[in-house]
Amino acid sequence: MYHLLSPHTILENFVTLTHPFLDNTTQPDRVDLKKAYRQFIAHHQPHTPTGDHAAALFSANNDHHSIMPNFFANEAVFADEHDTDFHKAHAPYQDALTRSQALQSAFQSLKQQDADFCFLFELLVNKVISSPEPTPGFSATNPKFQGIIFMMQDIIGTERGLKELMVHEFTHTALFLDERRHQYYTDYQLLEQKEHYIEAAISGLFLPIDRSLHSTIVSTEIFLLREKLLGHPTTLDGHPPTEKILKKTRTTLRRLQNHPIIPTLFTPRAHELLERCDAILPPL
Amino acid sequence: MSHLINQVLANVTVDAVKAAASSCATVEASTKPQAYTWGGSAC
Repeated sequence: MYHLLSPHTILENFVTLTHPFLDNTTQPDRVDLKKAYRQFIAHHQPHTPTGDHAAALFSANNDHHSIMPNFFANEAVFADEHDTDFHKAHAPYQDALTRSQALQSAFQSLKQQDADFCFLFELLVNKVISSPEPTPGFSATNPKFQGIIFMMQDIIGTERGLKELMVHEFTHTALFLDERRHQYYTDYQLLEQKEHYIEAAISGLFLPIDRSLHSTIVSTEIFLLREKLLGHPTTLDGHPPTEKILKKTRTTLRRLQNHPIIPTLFTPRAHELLERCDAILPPL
Repeated sequence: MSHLINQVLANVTVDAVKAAASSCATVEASTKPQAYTWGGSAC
């Protein structure tokens, strides 16, 4: 979203959605905007923890343990998409606190490189949780838990790789707001019908269309992040090497474009996002 | 960034806020909890 569209677009979504909760509409500061955002989330998702202005962004404690069962309710995703045994066997951090500190350090470094991105990250994300629980792994967002990111301790990541992971999860978070403002689908029930699932390029698994759209946009964003800021790694570092990402993303994009239901299921906004990815991703 | 915030605020309209609230209510009611997970080493 940040590179694919613009900081302006992200702010426009944020302000338009939170405007009814904004007390100071003339010259609000970051505290005013965060307060409105927390009220917006509490209104629509009273189950979602929003923290407060004094709380640390990066957390390694167990304060939010109670939301994990619902946050990770689609456990099949874990079993089907990822190899949890691999993660358990190769955990690069000794505990959640060490991982949380590594994330915080990477974020401070990223702030030196792109202060505007980090301003938006701190605005849209209320909590980055590195849970002390041994499972589940991975980094994750959930549209029903706006502003919450889980970043577990068993993901491979150099400081550079951790920056990619934070941009990855921020992109989902910004997309959830964009979808709330613009609505991406004309019929949400169709998303759940398995006959409309899209085959993932590498794993071969069939995923819902909304997940495939998110995957395409996030991958394009990571490609742009590498082009503009971090450079292209030659090995796995947060995400696979660029050539592998491009191949996967182009394949998923083509499957979305050719899916017979897309012309009527996608709203103009969803079509626009897909077309933008198509215009940016270099041909294979 | 504060300049950009003020610029966005100056241009936001009542109609846009109403349309966003309506769209948000629809999406919120239609969306189910679903963890979007990522494990870099799994790729």
